[in-house]
Amino acid sequence: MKVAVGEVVLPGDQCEEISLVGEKSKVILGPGLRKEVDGITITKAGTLKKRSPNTYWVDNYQKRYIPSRGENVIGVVVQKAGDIFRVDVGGSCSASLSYLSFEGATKKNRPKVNIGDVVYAKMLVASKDMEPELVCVDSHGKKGRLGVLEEGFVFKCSLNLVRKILNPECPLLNSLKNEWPFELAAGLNGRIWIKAKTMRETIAVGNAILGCEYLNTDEIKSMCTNIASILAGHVS
Amino acid sequence: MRDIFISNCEKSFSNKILSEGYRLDGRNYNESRQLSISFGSEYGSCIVSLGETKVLAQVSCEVTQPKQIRPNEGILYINVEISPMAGPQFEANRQTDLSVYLNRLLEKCYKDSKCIDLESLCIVVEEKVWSLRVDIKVLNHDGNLIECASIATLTSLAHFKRPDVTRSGDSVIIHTLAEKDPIPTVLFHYPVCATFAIFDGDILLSDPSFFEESVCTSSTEEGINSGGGVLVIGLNQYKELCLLDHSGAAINSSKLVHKAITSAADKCKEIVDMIKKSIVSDDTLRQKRVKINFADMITQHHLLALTRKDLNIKLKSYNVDDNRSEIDGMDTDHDLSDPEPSKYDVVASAPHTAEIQTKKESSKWIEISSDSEEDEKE
Repeated sequence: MKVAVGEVVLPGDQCEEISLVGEKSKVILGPGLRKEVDGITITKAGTLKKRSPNTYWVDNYQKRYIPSRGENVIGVVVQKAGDIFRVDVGGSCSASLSYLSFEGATKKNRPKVNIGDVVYAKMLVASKDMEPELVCVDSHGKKGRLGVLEEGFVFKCSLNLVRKILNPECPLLNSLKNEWPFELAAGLNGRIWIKAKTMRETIAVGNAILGCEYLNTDEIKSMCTNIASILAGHVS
Repeated sequence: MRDIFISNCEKSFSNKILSEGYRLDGRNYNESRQLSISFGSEYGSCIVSLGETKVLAQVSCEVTQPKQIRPNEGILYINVEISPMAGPQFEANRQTDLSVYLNRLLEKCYKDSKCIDLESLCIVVEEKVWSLRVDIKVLNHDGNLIECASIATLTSLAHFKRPDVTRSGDSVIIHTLAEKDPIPTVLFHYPVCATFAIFDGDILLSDPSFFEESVCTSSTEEGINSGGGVLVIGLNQYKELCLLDHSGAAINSSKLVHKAITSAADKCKEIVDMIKKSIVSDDTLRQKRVKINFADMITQHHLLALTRKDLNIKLKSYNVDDNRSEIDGMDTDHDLSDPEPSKYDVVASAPHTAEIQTKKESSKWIEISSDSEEDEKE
């Protein structure tokens, strides 16, 4: 079936619009699109989106992470193997994290990372034929916000939800931060780490994040005040 | 099978909140998730869902030769299948420890407790008996598979009806459903399993979620399991014990088991009552010749709203509907003009199928412009 931008598309559909644009200029194909001999074929079910001038992708509901370069992710250290840590990021295979890719780490000065620790790291290598590689420093050798996350709680959610709460137009985090203090790290692999003063406040943050998945801007704001009042004990 | 790895912070967090008296999804210690039973078009097929856990059960029968040692008894066979559909950690066509364990527990609960009148399944002694086969397929694994599968097994067995048989001399005639009314299976009693997760050796959680199950059975940093485990209790409607199974660290006090059995007794009675009620209501519908099948499960609400009533992480008094109703109160006319805030509409087409069509009216959903969505990616 022939489809256009903004429509609901299914795997196997063809998009002529993209191939026409592609004849004149360069086109960037995002996730869910593939170039075949006879045009552009869709490989995922979702909505076809376009960002001017010529980037196309299919936006769909997804829970399984596919590593891609430059994304900040949250992983769990599952194994120490020689000079690398194996980190489970939720992809098809575990990612590797060298012990030298921490701030101030040398051959003699090893970072303190144990099995079962949660790390916030950046994807350095993500190719379809190789194991993904993570780093906990930026190009200047500074850790920034990356590194081992202490205490708190990690939960999984859909990839769309992470992108939604990270969107600057999403009011969730802005309205939540006025209600009570908390720390949060969102990995684009669908894992969110949260930490607040008390256990109940931590649960409330998780509740608010998961609850906002299908709500619009106004509803999110009212949900935040609702949760804050439950937390304060006004609602029994 | 690839194990799901639980991080240290998740373990310590869940242990801490449990000792403070909370559960992650806002339930009380002895509170179960929503149980729902729906029947398929044939006798003996049902889908049971317990929260997000879903199990399909199907009973089938065939005429076989009885076993040598039990020439006048029918045969009951239970088969459990866990496919990658249930969870990404499972592999296709491969028996895992979990499926073998589940199979054994169900056999203990239904075969060894002798709840089915196997002698009534005999047609000709030493020659022909009915063999009942229960196929359990796990559709989604979100914890407490044992309880969900046992409810599904019992419901499908109680719902199942086998074809009637007449013997004339040496020949045996099996009647079709149209010729003669089928015969229901005779159940002496209705055993159901209830699962409890044990934390710190003294906290009992009924109907544990997948996360709670994996935390309480996982080993701690020291490599030893500190007082965690899963306790399975099978009871029938007369509160008689049919099955007791425990995995994980040893239980210190017998009081814990007593406590679990007393709370399981009431729960099992409730579940059995619900099973009986749903079978009776299904039967009356079938007598009125109403067509029943799994398509009834997929309601418009499921397709359109995508909303999950249960969040994995929830405060005790949080209600998903609260946000909705507050908005409704603020601008009612907004809601009346377009009750479904969706671009698409579900329209019935052929019988038992539906298709999604684009709605004529403009949508009430906010279109997040693609530019802003891309910005945060960079």
